[in-house]
Amino acid sequence: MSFPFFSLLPELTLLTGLLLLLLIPFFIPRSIEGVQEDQTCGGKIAYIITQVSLWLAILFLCLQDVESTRLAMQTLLLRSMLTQMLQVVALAATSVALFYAYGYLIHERLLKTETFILLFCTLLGVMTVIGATHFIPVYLGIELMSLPLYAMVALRKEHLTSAEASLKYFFLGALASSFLLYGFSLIYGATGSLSMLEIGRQAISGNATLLKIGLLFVVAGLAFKLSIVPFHMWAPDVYRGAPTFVTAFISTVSKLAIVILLLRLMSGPLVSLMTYWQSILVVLACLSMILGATVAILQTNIKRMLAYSTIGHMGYLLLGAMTGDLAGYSASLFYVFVYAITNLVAFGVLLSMHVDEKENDNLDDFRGLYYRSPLRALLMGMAMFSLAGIPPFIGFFGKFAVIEIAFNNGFFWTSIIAILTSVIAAFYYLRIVLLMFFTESAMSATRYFTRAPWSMSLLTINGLTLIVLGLFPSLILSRLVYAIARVIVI
Amino acid sequence: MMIGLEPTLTHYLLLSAALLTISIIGMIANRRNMLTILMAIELLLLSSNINFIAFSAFLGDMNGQVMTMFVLATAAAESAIGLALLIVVFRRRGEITVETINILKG
Repeated sequence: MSFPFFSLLPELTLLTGLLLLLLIPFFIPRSIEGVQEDQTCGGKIAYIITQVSLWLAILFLCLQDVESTRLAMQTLLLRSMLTQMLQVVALAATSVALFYAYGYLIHERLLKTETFILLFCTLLGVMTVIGATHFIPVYLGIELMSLPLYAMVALRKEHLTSAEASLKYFFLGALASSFLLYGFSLIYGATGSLSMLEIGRQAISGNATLLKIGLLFVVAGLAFKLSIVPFHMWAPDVYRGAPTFVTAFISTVSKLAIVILLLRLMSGPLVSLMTYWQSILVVLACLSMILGATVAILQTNIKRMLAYSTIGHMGYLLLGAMTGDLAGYSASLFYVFVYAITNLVAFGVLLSMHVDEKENDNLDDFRGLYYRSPLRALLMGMAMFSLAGIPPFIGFFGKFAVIEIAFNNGFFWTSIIAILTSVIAAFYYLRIVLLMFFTESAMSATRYFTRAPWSMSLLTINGLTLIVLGLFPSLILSRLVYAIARVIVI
Repeated sequence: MMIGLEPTLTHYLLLSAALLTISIIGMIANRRNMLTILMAIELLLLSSNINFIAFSAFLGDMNGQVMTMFVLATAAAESAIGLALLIVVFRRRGEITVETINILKG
């Protein structure tokens, strides 16, 4: 068995980038304390290396032959059209978020080598989780993804809120990983294997009690990572306390990896417990949708509000997953794509709001934004309409797909709850639009935004994709359905 | 062989379940020092390790013990990160009691 060099080329590219980043401090000495300008020299080089290796990895991913599903590293990693799509989206989203964040990173003095080193470790974890078909790479991938994220939340060492948020994230995240591991150990005991492909064959004859308890622990662990009620407590605090760039990353890329892991566990190894899955996920989905819609109304901070909005959206995502058929899984994955694209626009606007060392992430800062910066207000408005699920935007089709699937599979009351909560949720999304366009600005016109033409034009393109994909949702959806239908293991 | 002296699989599972319960209580009921939470997390990981080893021996399959090695390594990394974060908070605050972590309200 030779080393699968070409299958692993994207990961190896990221690893090479990481090693190059680790070398930077040796060649560019750190700045003397107090001289703040110097820190950006190494940081700028690190930024360029990061972007180049991200796009090289995307290129290698696109060049891979994915017509047939293949296993790499014996049976540890999976290579299929679906994993390729997800990995490309994860890397592209990171790169786009980095473009938006360039000005923010400079202002917050985060344009340092360690920021990008941590980011690369997390990305390697995400890539591993997306492709993993064995419990060892799954667990290692999740830890590789989470551990640098805890540190990234605390990157602004002088902010007490950041440090506190990262401690909370760390304690609850470690608890979640341990629950997941405990669940894996029980599933291993019931089936005698750690490979997901093997577990699927053994699960029917295995010890049912052990499997069910194991499943319970696994669901709890994954729900923690996805911030699903009742395991959501960390999300608002972490979203608020983390640097906005890291918040954007947590809410898009890390969710993507956990969602595919959930679907892979549901569809492959533990498919024999489907009724059991459904009864748990129905409750979690309803609770998340209700809490996400109602508590968000009380928030005065946009980042906290977006955290509750994430909680709600994860509930909608479960609607598609719990049906347990391929159409439901593709609706779920479509939803997570839509959610990621839309959230990138919202966070892109938030990142560009940074003025005078302040994050400007309170509702009041959006008051009369249209009269100060029409473009930002329009883009934020589009993101809010899309999150609320209003027709010409892509968010509508995401919601429509999952609710339709759930309804057709007999989850009548759950669908009714989903529709009602999306109406309630529309209130707080539209309130921001109202604030931006129809209220007087409390701030004087002297507060200018920093000029970042290329990141704003990229943000505009991203905003326009919300409409274009909203008009032609089949561009993604049909490709997803095609990809899912072709793979044996999701 | 005397009954009660030879440990069976059930005994190991009970031990790991007991460790799990103790560590969860340690995380929730603890109101004083945050280092205790860190220790509780270590205990939690070790309880799954006991499961893996017990099943591995019972099933005659080496995979479980391999997993344990990886878990031990990540547990070390996890406590390193946890201690680093505690130091960051301690530098700003001068103390690491659980009650003082209250700037962010849910």
